[in-house]
Amino acid sequence: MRYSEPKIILISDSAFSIELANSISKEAFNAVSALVDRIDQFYSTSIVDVIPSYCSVVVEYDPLQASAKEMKALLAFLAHDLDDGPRKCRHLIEIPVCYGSGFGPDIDEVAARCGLDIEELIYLHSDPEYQVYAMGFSPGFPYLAGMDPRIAVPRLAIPRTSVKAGSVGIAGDQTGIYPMQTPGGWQLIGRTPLTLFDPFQAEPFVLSIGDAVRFIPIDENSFAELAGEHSD
Amino acid sequence: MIEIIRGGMLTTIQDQGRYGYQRYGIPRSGPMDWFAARLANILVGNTAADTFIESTIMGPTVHFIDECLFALTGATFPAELDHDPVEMNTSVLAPAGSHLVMGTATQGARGYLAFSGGLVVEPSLGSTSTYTKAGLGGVDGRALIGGDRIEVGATTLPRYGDRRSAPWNILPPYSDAPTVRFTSEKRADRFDDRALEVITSHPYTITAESDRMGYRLDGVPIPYAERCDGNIISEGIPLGSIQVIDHRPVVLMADRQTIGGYAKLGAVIKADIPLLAQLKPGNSVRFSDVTVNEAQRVFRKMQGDLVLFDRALSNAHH
Repeated sequence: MRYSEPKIILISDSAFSIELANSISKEAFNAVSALVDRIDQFYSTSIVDVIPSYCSVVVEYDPLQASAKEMKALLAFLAHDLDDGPRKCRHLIEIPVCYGSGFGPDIDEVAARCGLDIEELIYLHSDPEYQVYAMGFSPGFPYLAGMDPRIAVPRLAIPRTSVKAGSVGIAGDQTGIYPMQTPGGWQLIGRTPLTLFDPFQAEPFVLSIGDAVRFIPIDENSFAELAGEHSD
Repeated sequence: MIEIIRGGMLTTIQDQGRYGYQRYGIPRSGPMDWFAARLANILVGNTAADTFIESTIMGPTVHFIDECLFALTGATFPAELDHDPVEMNTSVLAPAGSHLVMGTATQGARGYLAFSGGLVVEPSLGSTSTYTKAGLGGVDGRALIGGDRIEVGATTLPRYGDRRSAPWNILPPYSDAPTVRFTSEKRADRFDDRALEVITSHPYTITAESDRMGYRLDGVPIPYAERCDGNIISEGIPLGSIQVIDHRPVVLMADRQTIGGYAKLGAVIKADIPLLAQLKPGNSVRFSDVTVNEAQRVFRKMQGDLVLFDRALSNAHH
Protein backbone atom coordinates (compact mmCIF):
# COMPACT_ATOMS: atom_id res chain seq x y z
CA MET A 1 0.00 0.00 0.00
CA ARG A 2 1.21 3.49 -0.84
CA TYR A 3 1.38 5.76 2.21
CA SER A 4 -0.67 8.95 2.04
CA GLU A 5 2.27 10.78 3.65
CA PRO A 6 5.89 9.67 3.16
CA LYS A 7 7.56 8.30 6.29
CA ILE A 8 10.97 9.85 6.89
CA ILE A 9 12.87 7.45 9.11
CA LEU A 10 16.21 8.14 10.73
CA ILE A 11 18.39 5.14 9.85
CA SER A 12 21.82 6.44 10.90
CA ASP A 13 23.47 9.63 12.18
CA SER A 14 23.89 10.70 8.56
CA ALA A 15 21.09 9.01 6.60
CA PHE A 16 17.32 9.00 6.31
CA SER A 17 15.07 6.51 4.56
CA ILE A 18 12.04 8.03 2.88
CA GLU A 19 9.47 5.24 2.76
CA LEU A 20 6.67 5.70 0.27
CA ALA A 21 4.85 2.35 0.56
CA ASN A 22 4.91 -0.89 2.51
CA SER A 23 4.54 -3.22 -0.47
CA ILE A 24 5.97 -3.44 -3.98
CA SER A 25 3.81 -1.93 -6.71
CA LYS A 26 4.11 0.09 -9.90
CA GLU A 27 2.71 3.17 -8.13
CA ALA A 28 5.21 2.85 -5.28
CA PHE A 29 8.08 2.58 -7.73
CA ASN A 30 6.83 5.51 -9.83
CA ALA A 31 6.78 7.63 -6.68
CA VAL A 32 10.35 6.47 -5.87
CA SER A 33 11.47 7.58 -9.36
CA ALA A 34 9.72 10.93 -9.02
CA LEU A 35 11.42 11.53 -5.67
CA VAL A 36 14.87 10.63 -7.03
CA ASP A 37 14.35 13.07 -9.92
CA ARG A 38 13.40 15.82 -7.47
CA ILE A 39 16.40 15.18 -5.23
CA ASP A 40 18.76 15.11 -8.24
CA GLN A 41 17.33 18.33 -9.64
CA PHE A 42 17.40 20.10 -6.27
CA TYR A 43 21.17 19.53 -6.07
CA SER A 44 22.05 20.09 -2.45
CA THR A 45 25.76 19.85 -1.59
CA SER A 46 24.83 18.42 1.81
CA ILE A 47 23.28 15.33 0.13
CA VAL A 48 26.18 13.00 -0.67
CA ASP A 49 24.44 9.87 -2.01
CA VAL A 50 20.98 8.65 -2.96
CA ILE A 51 20.01 4.95 -2.95
CA PRO A 52 16.57 4.21 -4.38
CA SER A 53 14.92 0.79 -4.28
CA TYR A 54 11.42 -0.71 -4.51
CA CYS A 55 9.49 1.41 -1.98
CA SER A 56 12.03 3.77 -0.47
CA VAL A 57 14.82 6.22 -1.13
CA VAL A 58 17.79 6.36 1.24
CA VAL A 59 19.54 9.74 1.39
CA GLU A 60 23.00 10.01 2.90
CA TYR A 61 24.05 13.51 3.92
CA ASP A 62 27.04 15.30 5.38
CA PRO A 63 26.33 16.09 9.05
CA LEU A 64 28.94 18.86 8.90
CA GLN A 65 26.69 20.71 6.46
CA ALA A 66 23.21 19.89 7.76
CA SER A 67 21.80 18.73 11.09
CA ALA A 68 19.36 15.82 11.21
CA LYS A 69 16.52 18.27 11.85
CA GLU A 70 17.41 20.44 8.85
CA MET A 71 17.81 17.45 6.54
CA LYS A 72 14.52 15.92 7.66
CA ALA A 73 12.74 19.19 6.89
CA LEU A 74 14.37 19.38 3.44
CA LEU A 75 13.40 15.78 2.65
CA ALA A 76 9.82 16.34 3.82
CA PHE A 77 9.66 19.31 1.43
CA LEU A 78 11.08 17.28 -1.47
CA ALA A 79 8.88 14.23 -0.82
CA HIS A 80 5.51 15.94 -0.56
CA ASP A 81 2.86 15.37 -3.21
CA LEU A 82 4.78 12.94 -5.45
CA ASP A 83 3.33 11.88 -8.77
CA ASP A 84 2.93 8.09 -8.90
CA GLY A 85 1.94 7.93 -12.55
CA PRO A 86 4.34 6.52 -15.16
CA ARG A 87 7.39 8.66 -15.95
CA LYS A 88 6.94 10.81 -19.02
CA CYS A 89 10.41 10.39 -20.37
CA ARG A 90 12.06 7.03 -19.93
CA HIS A 91 14.56 4.87 -21.71
CA LEU A 92 13.59 1.58 -23.30
CA ILE A 93 16.62 -0.66 -23.56
CA GLU A 94 16.56 -3.78 -25.67
CA ILE A 95 18.72 -6.61 -24.39
CA PRO A 96 19.53 -9.42 -26.84
CA VAL A 97 19.45 -12.81 -25.12
CA CYS A 98 20.42 -16.22 -26.38
CA TYR A 99 18.09 -18.60 -24.53
CA GLY A 100 18.88 -22.31 -24.24
CA SER A 101 20.79 -24.77 -22.11
CA GLY A 102 24.16 -23.82 -23.62
CA PHE A 103 23.69 -20.26 -22.28
CA GLY A 104 21.25 -20.76 -19.39
CA PRO A 105 21.93 -24.12 -17.75
CA ASP A 106 18.67 -24.15 -15.74
CA ILE A 107 16.27 -23.55 -18.64
CA ASP A 108 15.09 -27.18 -18.95
CA GLU A 109 14.51 -27.40 -15.21
CA VAL A 110 12.61 -24.08 -15.11
CA ALA A 111 10.40 -25.03 -18.07
CA ALA A 112 9.62 -28.45 -16.56
CA ARG A 113 8.83 -26.89 -13.20
CA CYS A 114 6.42 -24.42 -14.82
CA GLY A 115 4.85 -27.10 -17.01
CA LEU A 116 5.89 -25.28 -20.20
CA ASP A 117 7.95 -26.21 -23.21
CA ILE A 118 11.08 -24.18 -23.91
CA GLU A 119 9.47 -22.07 -26.67
CA GLU A 120 6.59 -21.05 -24.37
CA LEU A 121 9.03 -20.15 -21.61
CA ILE A 122 11.10 -17.99 -23.99
CA TYR A 123 7.95 -16.29 -25.28
CA LEU A 124 6.66 -15.53 -21.78
CA HIS A 125 10.05 -14.20 -20.68
CA SER A 126 10.69 -12.03 -23.75
CA ASP A 127 7.15 -10.69 -24.24
CA PRO A 128 6.73 -8.18 -21.37
CA GLU A 129 8.29 -4.79 -20.92
CA TYR A 130 10.17 -4.88 -17.62
CA GLN A 131 11.22 -2.05 -15.38
CA VAL A 132 14.42 -1.74 -13.31
CA TYR A 133 13.11 -1.41 -9.73
CA ALA A 134 16.45 -1.67 -7.93
CA MET A 135 20.14 -2.22 -8.59
CA GLY A 136 22.48 -3.93 -6.21
CA PHE A 137 23.79 -7.28 -5.05
CA SER A 138 26.72 -6.69 -7.40
CA PRO A 139 27.67 -3.60 -9.45
CA GLY A 140 25.03 -2.90 -12.10
CA PHE A 141 22.80 -5.92 -11.29
CA PRO A 142 19.23 -4.88 -12.26
CA TYR A 143 16.19 -6.29 -10.43
CA LEU A 144 13.51 -6.35 -13.15
CA ALA A 145 9.82 -6.24 -12.24
CA GLY A 146 6.95 -7.18 -14.50
CA MET A 147 7.62 -10.87 -15.09
CA ASP A 148 4.78 -13.23 -15.97
CA PRO A 149 3.93 -15.13 -12.75
CA ARG A 150 3.65 -18.35 -14.76
CA ILE A 151 7.47 -18.51 -15.04
CA ALA A 152 8.25 -17.65 -11.40
CA VAL A 153 10.62 -20.18 -9.79
CA PRO A 154 12.55 -20.09 -6.50
CA ARG A 155 16.28 -19.53 -6.21
CA LEU A 156 18.59 -22.55 -6.44
CA ALA A 157 18.85 -24.37 -3.09
CA ILE A 158 22.65 -24.19 -3.41
CA PRO A 159 23.92 -21.07 -5.21
CA ARG A 160 26.54 -21.48 -7.94
CA THR A 161 30.02 -20.38 -6.93
CA SER A 162 30.40 -18.72 -10.31
CA VAL A 163 27.85 -17.34 -12.77
CA LYS A 164 29.05 -16.06 -16.17
CA ALA A 165 28.74 -12.33 -16.95
CA GLY A 166 25.59 -11.60 -18.97
CA SER A 167 23.61 -14.52 -17.53
CA VAL A 168 19.85 -13.92 -17.34
CA GLY A 169 18.12 -15.52 -14.38
CA ILE A 170 14.86 -15.85 -12.48
CA ALA A 171 14.31 -15.72 -8.71
CA GLY A 172 10.77 -15.63 -7.39
CA ASP A 173 8.72 -13.24 -9.50
CA GLN A 174 11.74 -11.18 -10.60
CA THR A 175 14.21 -11.57 -13.40
CA GLY A 176 17.71 -10.11 -13.55
CA ILE A 177 21.00 -10.03 -15.42
CA TYR A 178 24.43 -10.72 -13.90
CA PRO A 179 26.68 -7.87 -15.18
CA MET A 180 29.86 -9.58 -14.03
CA GLN A 181 31.07 -13.01 -13.08
CA THR A 182 30.04 -13.56 -9.45
CA PRO A 183 28.55 -16.30 -7.28
CA GLY A 184 24.77 -16.44 -7.64
CA GLY A 185 21.61 -18.42 -6.92
CA TRP A 186 19.19 -17.29 -9.64
CA GLN A 187 17.98 -19.96 -12.10
CA LEU A 188 19.69 -19.23 -15.40
CA ILE A 189 17.77 -19.41 -18.69
CA GLY A 190 19.97 -17.49 -21.13
CA ARG A 191 22.79 -15.02 -21.60
CA THR A 192 23.27 -11.62 -23.24
CA PRO A 193 26.42 -10.72 -25.16
CA LEU A 194 26.04 -7.09 -24.02
CA THR A 195 28.45 -5.74 -21.41
CA LEU A 196 26.19 -4.16 -18.79
CA PHE A 197 28.95 -2.67 -16.66
CA ASP A 198 32.29 -1.33 -17.84
CA PRO A 199 33.94 1.17 -15.47
CA PHE A 200 36.25 2.39 -18.24
CA GLN A 201 33.46 3.62 -20.53
CA ALA A 202 32.12 7.18 -20.45
CA GLU A 203 28.73 5.60 -19.69
CA PRO A 204 29.74 2.73 -17.37
CA PHE A 205 26.20 1.36 -16.95
CA VAL A 206 23.80 0.30 -19.71
CA LEU A 207 20.83 0.36 -17.29
CA SER A 208 19.66 2.72 -14.54
CA ILE A 209 16.84 2.51 -12.05
CA GLY A 210 13.50 3.26 -13.72
CA ASP A 211 14.58 2.16 -17.22
CA ALA A 212 12.27 -0.07 -19.24
CA VAL A 213 13.81 -3.30 -20.55
CA ARG A 214 12.78 -5.73 -23.25
CA PHE A 215 14.56 -9.01 -24.01
CA ILE A 216 15.10 -9.84 -27.69
CA PRO A 217 15.68 -13.56 -28.35
CA ILE A 218 18.72 -14.18 -30.56
CA ASP A 219 20.39 -17.34 -31.86
CA GLU A 220 23.90 -18.62 -31.21
CA ASN A 221 25.33 -17.06 -34.36
CA SER A 222 24.05 -13.60 -33.45
CA PHE A 223 25.38 -14.11 -29.94
CA ALA A 224 28.85 -14.89 -31.30
CA GLU A 225 28.68 -11.94 -33.67
CA LEU A 226 27.55 -9.47 -30.97
CA ALA A 227 29.99 -10.87 -28.43
CA GLY A 228 32.77 -10.39 -31.00
CA GLU A 229 31.77 -6.77 -31.57
CA HIS A 230 31.77 -6.03 -27.88
CA SER A 231 35.14 -7.58 -27.18
CA ASP A 232 36.83 -5.19 -29.64
CA MET B 1 57.84 6.44 -6.47
CA ILE B 2 57.41 3.60 -4.00
CA GLU B 3 57.66 -0.12 -4.64
CA ILE B 4 55.82 -2.78 -2.68
CA ILE B 5 58.28 -5.53 -1.73
CA ARG B 6 55.79 -7.69 0.21
CA GLY B 7 52.03 -7.10 0.08
CA GLY B 8 51.11 -8.25 3.59
CA MET B 9 47.68 -9.71 4.35
CA LEU B 10 45.34 -7.25 2.64
CA THR B 11 47.01 -4.02 1.63
CA THR B 12 44.86 -1.78 -0.53
CA ILE B 13 44.93 1.68 -2.05
CA GLN B 14 42.05 3.86 -0.81
CA ASP B 15 40.78 7.41 -0.87
CA GLN B 16 37.60 8.87 0.67
CA GLY B 17 35.45 6.43 -1.29
CA ARG B 18 33.20 6.25 -4.32
CA TYR B 19 30.28 8.69 -4.16
CA GLY B 20 27.22 8.83 -6.39
CA TYR B 21 27.26 5.24 -7.67
CA GLN B 22 25.42 3.40 -4.92
CA ARG B 23 22.24 3.68 -6.99
CA TYR B 24 23.98 1.41 -9.52
CA GLY B 25 24.99 -1.08 -6.86
CA ILE B 26 28.58 0.14 -6.45
CA PRO B 27 29.68 0.13 -2.78
CA ARG B 28 31.20 3.21 -1.16
CA SER B 29 34.56 1.64 -0.16
CA GLY B 30 37.22 4.02 1.24
CA PRO B 31 39.04 3.51 4.55
CA MET B 32 37.60 1.34 7.32
CA ASP B 33 38.98 3.84 9.90
CA TRP B 34 38.24 7.27 8.44
CA PHE B 35 39.86 9.07 11.39
CA ALA B 36 43.24 7.34 11.11
CA ALA B 37 43.23 7.81 7.32
CA ARG B 38 42.54 11.53 7.62
CA LEU B 39 45.14 11.93 10.37
CA ALA B 40 47.82 10.23 8.23
CA ASN B 41 47.13 12.64 5.36
CA ILE B 42 47.23 15.66 7.69
CA LEU B 43 50.57 14.59 9.18
CA VAL B 44 52.22 14.73 5.75
CA GLY B 45 50.52 17.95 4.63
CA ASN B 46 47.98 16.31 2.28
CA THR B 47 44.33 17.12 1.75
CA ALA B 48 41.50 14.77 2.74
CA ALA B 49 41.15 13.81 -0.95
CA ASP B 50 44.68 12.37 -1.28
CA THR B 51 45.17 8.65 -1.93
CA PHE B 52 46.79 6.45 0.74
CA ILE B 53 47.33 2.80 1.70
CA GLU B 54 45.29 0.72 4.16
CA SER B 55 46.96 -2.39 5.52
CA THR B 56 45.35 -5.20 7.47
CA ILE B 57 46.89 -7.08 10.45
CA MET B 58 50.05 -8.14 8.54
CA GLY B 59 51.54 -5.01 7.02
CA PRO B 60 53.52 -4.58 3.81
CA THR B 61 57.19 -3.92 3.15
CA VAL B 62 57.64 -0.71 1.18
CA HIS B 63 60.75 0.43 -0.70
CA PHE B 64 61.07 4.21 -1.04
CA ILE B 65 62.67 4.72 -4.45
CA ASP B 66 62.74 8.49 -3.87
CA GLU B 67 62.94 10.49 -0.66
CA CYS B 68 59.45 10.76 0.83
CA LEU B 69 57.74 12.13 3.91
CA PHE B 70 55.26 9.53 5.21
CA ALA B 71 53.14 8.81 8.31
CA LEU B 72 51.72 5.63 9.83
CA THR B 73 48.47 5.78 11.83
CA GLY B 74 45.69 3.47 13.03
CA ALA B 75 46.68 0.04 14.38
CA THR B 76 50.00 -0.27 16.20
CA PHE B 77 52.54 -2.02 13.98
CA PRO B 78 56.11 -2.88 14.99
CA ALA B 79 57.32 -0.85 12.00
CA GLU B 80 60.97 -0.25 11.14
CA LEU B 81 62.57 2.06 8.61
CA ASP B 82 65.95 0.53 7.76
CA HIS B 83 65.87 -1.17 11.20
CA ASP B 84 65.05 2.03 13.13
CA PRO B 85 61.67 1.89 14.91
CA VAL B 86 59.01 4.09 13.31
CA GLU B 87 56.88 6.12 15.66
CA MET B 88 53.13 5.93 15.10
CA ASN B 89 51.07 9.07 14.37
CA THR B 90 54.23 10.96 13.45
CA SER B 91 55.61 12.22 10.17
CA VAL B 92 58.86 10.50 9.15
CA LEU B 93 61.26 11.39 6.34
CA ALA B 94 62.30 8.26 4.43
CA PRO B 95 65.57 8.65 2.52
CA ALA B 96 65.73 7.45 -1.09
CA GLY B 97 66.41 3.71 -1.13
CA SER B 98 65.14 3.04 2.39
CA HIS B 99 62.79 0.19 3.35
CA LEU B 100 59.77 0.29 5.65
CA VAL B 101 58.92 -3.12 7.19
CA MET B 102 55.57 -3.11 9.00
CA GLY B 103 55.30 -6.57 10.66
CA THR B 104 52.12 -7.76 12.39
CA ALA B 105 49.81 -5.39 14.30
CA THR B 106 50.13 -5.67 18.08
CA GLN B 107 47.04 -3.55 18.79
CA GLY B 108 44.18 -2.98 16.36
CA ALA B 109 43.75 -4.33 12.85
CA ARG B 110 44.20 -1.60 10.24
CA GLY B 111 47.12 0.71 9.60
CA TYR B 112 47.22 3.74 7.31
CA LEU B 113 50.23 4.94 5.34
CA ALA B 114 50.06 8.38 3.79
CA PHE B 115 52.77 9.88 1.59
CA SER B 116 53.37 13.61 1.15
CA GLY B 117 51.89 14.51 -2.24
CA GLY B 118 49.53 11.52 -2.18
CA LEU B 119 49.69 8.39 -4.32
CA VAL B 120 49.01 8.90 -8.02
CA VAL B 121 46.45 6.33 -9.13
CA GLU B 122 43.99 6.38 -12.02
CA PRO B 123 40.51 6.76 -10.52
CA SER B 124 37.70 4.46 -11.61
CA LEU B 125 34.16 5.81 -11.20
CA GLY B 126 35.57 8.93 -9.58
CA SER B 127 37.63 7.23 -6.87
CA THR B 128 40.96 5.47 -6.43
CA SER B 129 39.57 3.23 -3.67
CA THR B 130 40.19 -0.46 -4.28
CA TYR B 131 37.06 -2.61 -4.40
CA THR B 132 38.46 -6.04 -5.13
CA LYS B 133 35.12 -7.78 -5.79
CA ALA B 134 34.51 -5.63 -8.86
CA GLY B 135 38.15 -4.95 -9.71
CA LEU B 136 37.76 -1.20 -9.19
CA GLY B 137 40.41 1.34 -8.18
CA GLY B 138 43.92 0.79 -6.82
CA VAL B 139 46.34 -1.24 -8.92
CA ASP B 140 44.23 -3.33 -11.34
CA GLY B 141 41.41 -3.36 -8.76
CA ARG B 142 43.29 -5.77 -6.46
CA ALA B 143 45.24 -5.81 -3.21
CA LEU B 144 48.87 -4.73 -3.53
CA ILE B 145 51.52 -7.40 -4.15
CA GLY B 146 55.29 -7.46 -4.32
CA GLY B 147 56.55 -5.67 -7.43
CA ASP B 148 53.78 -3.04 -7.60
CA ARG B 149 55.22 0.43 -8.18
CA ILE B 150 53.16 3.51 -7.36
CA GLU B 151 53.95 7.11 -8.19
CA VAL B 152 53.93 9.65 -5.35
CA GLY B 153 52.50 13.04 -6.34
CA ALA B 154 54.58 16.18 -6.51
CA THR B 155 53.52 18.49 -3.73
CA THR B 156 53.20 22.15 -4.57
CA LEU B 157 53.24 23.09 -0.89
CA PRO B 158 56.55 23.46 0.90
CA ARG B 159 57.04 20.17 2.70
CA TYR B 160 56.63 19.94 6.45
CA GLY B 161 59.67 18.81 8.34
CA ASP B 162 59.54 15.34 9.83
CA ARG B 163 58.87 14.24 13.44
CA ARG B 164 55.57 16.02 13.83
CA SER B 165 53.26 14.06 16.11
CA ALA B 166 49.52 14.08 16.61
CA PRO B 167 48.46 14.99 20.15
CA TRP B 168 47.38 11.74 21.84
CA ASN B 169 44.17 13.29 23.16
CA ILE B 170 42.61 13.66 19.72
CA LEU B 171 42.87 9.91 19.03
CA PRO B 172 39.70 7.80 19.36
CA PRO B 173 39.70 5.54 22.47
CA TYR B 174 40.88 2.44 20.57
CA SER B 175 40.42 -0.80 22.53
CA ASP B 176 40.07 -4.58 22.05
CA ALA B 177 36.69 -4.37 23.80
CA PRO B 178 35.18 -0.96 23.00
CA THR B 179 31.68 0.32 23.56
CA VAL B 180 30.30 1.78 20.34
CA ARG B 181 27.32 4.09 20.18
CA PHE B 182 24.46 3.72 17.72
CA THR B 183 21.26 5.48 16.73
CA SER B 184 18.18 3.27 16.82
CA GLU B 185 15.63 3.04 14.00
CA LYS B 186 12.78 2.68 16.53
CA ARG B 187 10.82 0.14 14.46
CA ALA B 188 8.22 -1.51 16.65
CA ASP B 189 6.98 -3.39 13.56
CA ARG B 190 10.34 -5.14 13.17
CA PHE B 191 11.77 -5.65 16.66
CA ASP B 192 10.41 -6.71 20.02
CA ASP B 193 10.43 -4.10 22.80
CA ARG B 194 13.28 -6.01 24.46
CA ALA B 195 15.61 -5.86 21.43
CA LEU B 196 17.29 -2.59 22.45
CA GLU B 197 17.72 -3.79 26.00
CA VAL B 198 19.30 -7.05 24.78
CA ILE B 199 21.84 -5.43 22.45
CA THR B 200 22.82 -2.73 24.97
CA SER B 201 23.32 -5.05 27.92
CA HIS B 202 25.46 -7.88 26.49
CA PRO B 203 28.88 -8.04 24.81
CA TYR B 204 29.04 -9.40 21.25
CA THR B 205 32.02 -11.22 19.76
CA ILE B 206 33.53 -10.48 16.34
CA THR B 207 33.44 -13.76 14.38
CA ALA B 208 35.87 -14.93 11.70
CA GLU B 209 33.23 -14.01 9.08
CA SER B 210 34.26 -10.38 9.22
CA ASP B 211 35.93 -8.32 6.52
CA ARG B 212 35.82 -4.91 4.85
CA MET B 213 32.21 -5.57 3.92
CA GLY B 214 30.95 -6.13 7.45
CA TYR B 215 31.37 -7.75 10.85
CA ARG B 216 29.23 -10.73 11.76
CA LEU B 217 28.79 -10.79 15.53
CA ASP B 218 27.88 -13.56 17.91
CA GLY B 219 26.10 -13.19 21.25
CA VAL B 220 22.68 -13.10 22.90
CA PRO B 221 19.94 -13.43 20.23
CA ILE B 222 17.98 -10.27 19.38
CA PRO B 223 14.19 -10.76 19.33
CA TYR B 224 12.19 -9.68 16.26
CA ALA B 225 8.66 -8.31 16.56
CA GLU B 226 6.00 -11.01 16.67
CA ARG B 227 4.99 -10.53 13.02
CA CYS B 228 8.50 -9.99 11.61
CA ASP B 229 10.68 -12.83 10.31
CA GLY B 230 13.70 -10.56 9.96
CA ASN B 231 13.17 -9.87 6.25
CA ILE B 232 12.13 -6.51 4.80
CA ILE B 233 11.71 -5.12 1.29
CA SER B 234 15.29 -4.35 0.22
CA GLU B 235 16.40 -0.80 0.96
CA GLY B 236 19.60 1.25 1.01
CA ILE B 237 22.13 0.51 3.75
CA PRO B 238 24.17 3.37 5.25
CA LEU B 239 27.58 2.93 6.89
CA GLY B 240 27.46 1.23 10.29
CA SER B 241 24.00 -0.29 9.83
CA ILE B 242 23.26 -3.07 12.30
CA GLN B 243 21.40 -5.71 10.32
CA VAL B 244 19.92 -8.50 12.39
CA ILE B 245 20.24 -11.77 10.47
CA ASP B 246 18.88 -14.88 12.16
CA HIS B 247 18.72 -12.91 15.46
CA ARG B 248 22.45 -11.99 15.32
CA PRO B 249 23.86 -8.52 14.53
CA VAL B 250 25.93 -7.84 11.40
CA VAL B 251 27.51 -4.37 11.27
CA LEU B 252 28.05 -3.09 7.75
CA MET B 253 31.36 -1.43 6.96
CA ALA B 254 33.22 0.25 4.06
CA ASP B 255 32.62 -2.33 1.29
CA ARG B 256 29.00 -3.03 2.34
CA GLN B 257 26.44 -3.99 -0.31
CA THR B 258 24.30 -1.00 -1.31
CA ILE B 259 20.84 -2.46 -0.60
CA GLY B 260 19.72 -5.26 1.68
CA GLY B 261 16.61 -7.10 2.78
CA TYR B 262 17.31 -7.70 6.48
CA ALA B 263 15.71 -5.74 9.32
CA LYS B 264 18.06 -3.17 10.84
CA LEU B 265 18.10 -2.16 14.47
CA GLY B 266 19.99 1.10 13.83
CA ALA B 267 23.47 2.19 12.82
CA VAL B 268 26.78 2.70 14.63
CA ILE B 269 27.60 6.43 14.69
CA LYS B 270 30.30 7.78 12.37
CA ALA B 271 32.40 8.87 15.36
CA ASP B 272 32.70 5.27 16.60
CA ILE B 273 33.27 3.54 13.24
CA PRO B 274 37.08 3.85 13.80
CA LEU B 275 36.75 1.80 17.02
CA LEU B 276 34.99 -1.00 15.12
CA ALA B 277 37.42 -0.77 12.21
CA GLN B 278 40.28 -1.74 14.51
CA LEU B 279 38.65 -4.94 15.86
CA LYS B 280 39.79 -8.46 14.96
CA PRO B 281 37.93 -11.77 15.12
CA GLY B 282 37.72 -12.81 18.78
CA ASN B 283 37.50 -9.22 20.09
CA SER B 284 34.26 -8.12 21.70
CA VAL B 285 32.13 -5.02 21.46
CA ARG B 286 29.33 -3.47 23.49
CA PHE B 287 26.61 -1.19 22.16
CA SER B 288 24.99 1.87 23.68
CA ASP B 289 22.22 3.92 22.08
CA VAL B 290 22.45 7.69 21.68
CA THR B 291 20.38 10.41 20.07
CA VAL B 292 21.25 11.65 16.60
CA ASN B 293 22.04 15.09 18.04
CA GLU B 294 24.61 13.58 20.38
CA ALA B 295 26.06 11.48 17.51
CA GLN B 296 26.46 14.52 15.28
CA ARG B 297 27.89 16.64 18.10
CA VAL B 298 30.64 14.05 18.76
CA PHE B 299 31.38 13.72 15.03
CA ARG B 300 31.71 17.51 14.61
CA LYS B 301 34.05 17.61 17.62
CA MET B 302 36.33 14.96 16.04
CA GLN B 303 36.33 16.78 12.71
CA GLY B 304 37.03 20.05 14.52
CA ASP B 305 40.02 18.51 16.32
CA LEU B 306 41.44 17.32 13.00
CA VAL B 307 40.96 20.71 11.35
CA LEU B 308 42.63 22.50 14.29
CA PHE B 309 45.57 20.07 14.22
CA ASP B 310 45.92 20.53 10.46
CA ARG B 311 45.94 24.30 10.91
CA ALA B 312 48.42 24.15 13.78
CA LEU B 313 50.82 22.10 11.63
CA SER B 314 50.68 24.43 8.64
CA ASN B 315 50.99 27.55 10.84
CA ALA B 316 54.01 26.05 12.59
CA HIS B 317 55.58 25.58 9.19
CA HIS B 318 55.20 29.17 8.07
